[in-house]
Amino acid sequence: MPHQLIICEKPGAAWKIAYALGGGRAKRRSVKGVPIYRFERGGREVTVVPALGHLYAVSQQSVGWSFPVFNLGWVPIYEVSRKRGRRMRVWIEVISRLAEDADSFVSACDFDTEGSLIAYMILKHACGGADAKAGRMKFSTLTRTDLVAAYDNMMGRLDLERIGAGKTRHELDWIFGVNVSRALMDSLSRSSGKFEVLSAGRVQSPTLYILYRREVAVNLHVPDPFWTIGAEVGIKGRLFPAAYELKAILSRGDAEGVADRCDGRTGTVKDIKSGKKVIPPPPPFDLGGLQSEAYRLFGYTPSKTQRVAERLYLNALISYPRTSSQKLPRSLDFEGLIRNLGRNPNYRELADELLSSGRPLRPREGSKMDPAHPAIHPTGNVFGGGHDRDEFRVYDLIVKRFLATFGEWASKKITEIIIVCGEGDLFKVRGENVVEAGWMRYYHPYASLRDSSIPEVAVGEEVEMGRVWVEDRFTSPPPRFNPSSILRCMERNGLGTKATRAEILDTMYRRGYIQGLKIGVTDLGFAVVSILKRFFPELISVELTRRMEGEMEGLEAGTKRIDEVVTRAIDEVKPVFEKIISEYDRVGEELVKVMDLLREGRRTLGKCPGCREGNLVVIYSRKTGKRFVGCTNYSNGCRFSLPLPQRGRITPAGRVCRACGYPIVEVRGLSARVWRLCINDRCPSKEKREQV
Amino acid sequence: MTGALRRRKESRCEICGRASDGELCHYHREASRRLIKHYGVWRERTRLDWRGYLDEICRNELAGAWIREVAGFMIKKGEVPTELKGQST
Repeated sequence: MPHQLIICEKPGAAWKIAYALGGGRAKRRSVKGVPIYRFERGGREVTVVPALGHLYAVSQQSVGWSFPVFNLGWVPIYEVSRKRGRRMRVWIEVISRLAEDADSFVSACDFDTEGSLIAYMILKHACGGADAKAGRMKFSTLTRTDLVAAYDNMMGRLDLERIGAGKTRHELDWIFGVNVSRALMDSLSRSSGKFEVLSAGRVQSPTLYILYRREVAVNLHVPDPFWTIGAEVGIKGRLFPAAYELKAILSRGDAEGVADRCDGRTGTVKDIKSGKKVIPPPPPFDLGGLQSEAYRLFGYTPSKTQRVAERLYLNALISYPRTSSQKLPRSLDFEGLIRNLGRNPNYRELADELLSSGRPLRPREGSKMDPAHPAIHPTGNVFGGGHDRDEFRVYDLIVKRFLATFGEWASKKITEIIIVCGEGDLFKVRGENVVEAGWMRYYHPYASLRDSSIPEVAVGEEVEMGRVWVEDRFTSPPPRFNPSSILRCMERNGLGTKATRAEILDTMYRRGYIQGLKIGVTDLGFAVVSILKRFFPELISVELTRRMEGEMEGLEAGTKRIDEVVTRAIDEVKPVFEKIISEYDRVGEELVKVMDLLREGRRTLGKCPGCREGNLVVIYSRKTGKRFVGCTNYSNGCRFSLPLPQRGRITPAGRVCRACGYPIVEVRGLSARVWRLCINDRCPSKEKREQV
Repeated sequence: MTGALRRRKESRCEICGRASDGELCHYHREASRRLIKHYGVWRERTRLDWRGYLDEICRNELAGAWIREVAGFMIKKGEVPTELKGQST
């Protein structure tokens, strides 16, 4: 009997695909820990086997830790990464053995650049060059209907353009990232004999530079003073906040003049303006939109939202989330989908309302397009038990956003009363009335209209000015980026892809270049940027990265060739590496200076409570090799010292003990938890514990 | 002279310890320049003298970290910048 091998991206997807295509006949087996599914379909035996993400990776073809390296090849991932090395080796062996019995092959990985590349590499290397004869299933949800349709109408060949773009992206990332990172680490180790993990990348470095520039702007902000007027107006016995005609007054005297003239006086209604404002429904989510909204509403980082959305996708509850589309294809059965959502009591009322409205079900779409996938939408499958709070929240957000796109425009009536008082000073009272909630009913509680009505008055009518006061204000610095706004900024600047942006941000947090949810750049981040800026300005240029992303899009569209793009990129970066080599010693010295300063910062615990002049630092005794806390003012006679734990990695916690005011340190590496410790061995808090 | 010794002899910013070719590193030098430049606006709007201005800046949470550090440094030094000498400060 003919035998077909279907390659999937993850075990969760393999299970869905096997049961969609094989029904109850699909039998699960485990071969050396690799789950495989077997069934018969259309007179052939079918085996579904998952990958574990990428099983092959880019690596240099020559031996040794040198740079720059441009001769690259693809090798099994266990050759370049020790992480899960043995498991990956077994996984590839099992797939190779299954491929020996197969005469036809299908790629059923996610239909995007990474998915296509994962399947291509497995088919080419583990299945003996089966990439040339493999078919490709194209689907956007893991529902049975979609998967069966994708299998029955599969493409007769692999999506080679997308594979080419993915392959090139990985190779360029290697050429830039690995080579520059090696250059930085190597020059540091040659100059100082010390090692520190430093990294730079094609997308990472320009992004870090954007954050750096914002950090500099915040740190260099000088607030200038100005004044505003706050006021309350009594209309028909009720007080309403009023805004003064000028948003900022540049002299306190002028501001006080307004307050003196108008406080507690009588004003006259000079004019009444009213108008209607309509708010169209929002478009359905693309990944960036979902990440922004989940951050705004729940405080989820973009990478967390992406992980949760991927879990929902693997459970066939939503469509493929890594999409940049804001379009919902007409081929989707909107009515059936909404009816299915109505089976869930949470959405029954909203679904019934939409279906019984009599309006044609036409969603409002955004302008962004993605040829591979539609906007994120629910599949209509029932959201059963066994899901955590994060999954529920993200699912609820996606469903309500989807329903809202079919809603009517929301509208509100805006009324503005202009009041004149004092020496022609104008104040404005604003009222808003919801006329039609429209789509906001479906998107509740994630959007709502403010309703603040004001009584009716006539022009010429007198009103009582309540309190009028002066407020001291200062100009504000530009806001720091948060994980959501930096992702939007990366998208605007063409940095990275929808799938990689959140991961790049995580890497910068992990490396210690940035910190906090209101993102601040650390000293290490500053050091890396200042070196890149000084020696390799090309690498932090948004232009270079944007141009390369454009070329990769050209590859995907079939208008460019891989070798042409890679060769051009190598030609562009070669002079940069030549410059690095010629400046090797200077780069190294600069890095050593910065690293010395950082190490100094890492071992400085705080001000010395003994002399109040020096700093407390961690010192290693030359005689015994043991560490203790000492004062930098030792040479001037300060003999302050304290003992320290001899095991574990000690770093300053950046705060002081509430009981005694001595610095607190963090000790890591003794157990899974971080031990926070006041360095004062006679701290009252410790004495209390001892008494107990 | 060894590299380590040479590094030790290089001048450091008096505020943050970064390498510098003067009293301050280039970040704090820029902060100092801006602080002096904005004094004109403050003097016009608040009639504060130089010292009062620096005190206000040190207390202001909207002021950037480097600006506050430089203001504190200038208070400690107690000198009026040369750019402002001759003006009523």
